[in-house]
Amino acid sequence: MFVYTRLSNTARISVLILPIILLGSLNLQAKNAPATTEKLSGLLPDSVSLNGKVVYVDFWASWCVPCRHSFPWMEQLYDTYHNQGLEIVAVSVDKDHQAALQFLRENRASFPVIFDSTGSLAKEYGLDAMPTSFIYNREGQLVTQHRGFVNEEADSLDSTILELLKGGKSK
Amino acid sequence: MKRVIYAIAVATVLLSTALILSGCSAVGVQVWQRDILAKPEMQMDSPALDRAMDDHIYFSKEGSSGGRGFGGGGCGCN
Repeated sequence: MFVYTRLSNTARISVLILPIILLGSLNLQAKNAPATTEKLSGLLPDSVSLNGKVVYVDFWASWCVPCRHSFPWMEQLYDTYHNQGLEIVAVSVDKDHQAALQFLRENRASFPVIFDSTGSLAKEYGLDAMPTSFIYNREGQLVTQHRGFVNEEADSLDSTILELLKGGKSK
Repeated sequence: MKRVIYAIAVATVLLSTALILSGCSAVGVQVWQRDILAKPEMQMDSPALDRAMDDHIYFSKEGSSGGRGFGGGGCGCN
């Protein structure tokens, strides 16, 4: 009698399905954004510190139309709240660096911009929409993430950020 | 010996099946890779002349008009 033939049908199906579920779950795990800003800090110039700040991380690209709408809002947000402890980090996923630079010439960005042309950071954050933003609290912990950008939703993001700036730990 | 070979064969088949089935989860372009694909000229209905010709043929065959690029939903009510 062989090992395999001793297994019941249910066990055989389980043996077949389990690896698929495991592989699937590994894939899902990779989609979780980093829980802290630690790695992001390492990618920024020394002059930018994220310690003790509320951090808004925004993934954008020059070819992404909603991103074009989000920049004026982010710029205004940065102007208003930077002094109160808000830091905005914009991550460009453009492969074409020149296109990203052209976008930045057309859309003012006073906040730091990281260029992720290989998409490694985007993959690590598990993006499934463009743009996607992540908000970290003053303790550097991920509070919430937001997919896409429409002007109507900006108010809700504003209030989340404002609450965190006032010292709230969550939404 | 025969038993070991059989076990290895079964394990290989199971692993291959799992890999083949889960392989489909990574097919396609990731959102951050769209780039050129996101441009208006890459859309299926981007060339206006092509679209107009397709519509003309379609409407001739169907004996109707509307449903795309027209006000209304092709119901003939406007």
